[in-house]
Amino acid sequence: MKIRITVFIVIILFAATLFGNEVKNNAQVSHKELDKSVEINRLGKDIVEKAKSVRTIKSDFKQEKVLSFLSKKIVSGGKFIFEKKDSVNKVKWEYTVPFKYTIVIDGSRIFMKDSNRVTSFEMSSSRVFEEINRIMVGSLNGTILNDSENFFINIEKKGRELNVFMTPRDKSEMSKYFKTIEMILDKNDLTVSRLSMIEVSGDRTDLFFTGKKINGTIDPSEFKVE
Amino acid sequence: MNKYLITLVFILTIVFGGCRHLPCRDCVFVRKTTLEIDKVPFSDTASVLYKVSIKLYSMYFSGILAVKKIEKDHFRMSLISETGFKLFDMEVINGIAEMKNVFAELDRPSVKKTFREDLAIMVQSGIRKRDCNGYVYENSDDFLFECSVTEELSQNFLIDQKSGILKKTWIAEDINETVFDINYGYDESGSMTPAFITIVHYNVQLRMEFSLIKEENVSK
Repeated sequence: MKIRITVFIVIILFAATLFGNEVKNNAQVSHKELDKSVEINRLGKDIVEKAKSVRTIKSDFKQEKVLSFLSKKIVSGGKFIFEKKDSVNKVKWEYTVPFKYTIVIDGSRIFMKDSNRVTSFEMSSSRVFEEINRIMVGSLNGTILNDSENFFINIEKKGRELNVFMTPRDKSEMSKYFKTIEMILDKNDLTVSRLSMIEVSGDRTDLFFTGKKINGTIDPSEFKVE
Repeated sequence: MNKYLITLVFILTIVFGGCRHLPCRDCVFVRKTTLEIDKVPFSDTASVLYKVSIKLYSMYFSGILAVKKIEKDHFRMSLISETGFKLFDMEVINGIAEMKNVFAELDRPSVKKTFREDLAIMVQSGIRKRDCNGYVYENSDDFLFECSVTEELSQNFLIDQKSGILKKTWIAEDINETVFDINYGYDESGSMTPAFITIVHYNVQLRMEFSLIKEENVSK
């Protein structure tokens, strides 16, 4: 009888120890997750705050399109210009490689110049185009990090960079096209140096921004398309 | 009596024989024959990129078409916008095309059907030995194959007899009722990858233009 009681006590103590360790481990994990969540929030706020001070961006860019069935990437590139004035965003993508092509977004209107042909339309006429523009501009000026309604957002520190992962929520329109959108920001100025859009099919578009000039003067003629 | 009957049959033969349906102006029926094209577009293509412009009624799109020949009669293609956004993926096997990942604005049955048919014909997938009528032109060295597709429609292939190159193909009801045509242009390198392609529809206002992007300007 004495032995039975001893064995019972040992089992109880052992179980209690295990349970105690489990609780302790869970508490540590929760604590870590909480820390991480707090840090993500803090980093997100830093990026958004920094973005608020960005009035203009001028940069070179290189675009690489990866298609699963092609062994080589489709490379294009040119000049990118962004200006925020009186809460109106103006964006210019001026491709010079492999051929000349310019797209200007002036508030709600889009202008495209291809060879000598200029076309324009209201962005609202294409909901998806509107969304893509919102992602691209929002990524570059950081405002997309406020969009927790449409994206799960995670931020990781990696050396001198911050990696931001945005996964479209199932209900969002973007979930039909993109598996995830990744941004790499420079820790020093918190501006985007790489933007990757990974499609549901696995194909991807990588945009690399180099020679960035923040808050420089932009000539108004840059946004004129003729 | 028999003499008159024979004369009547002879006259009717001449009248109706002279009215033989012709798919082309200034051409003469030669013989019933099997479709033979020595130099088919894309026959020596591995992968290639085209700058694309599409005018559909008052709408205008542009972008890049990537074409990869997997094997004979099997192609994969993607149309992307200049900004890299995917408009659609397509796979063509033996003339049958399937589309995937179609951008919402293009995701309409009639638009998808048009792209499937046009691009499958453009890469000349699934050209088998068909029974056709052969014609020669009075004023050129071109040879024309007229191959029946349905009771009303035929697909026509215009070939330069000297080079054996397919210059143009078109779907038509008859000489005045072309549904759409595809014109191929080649550079002087001798490659069978067309440098220019134009697709024009006549029953809807649709025109597509493709110009080859030289590889040295693209993949690095």
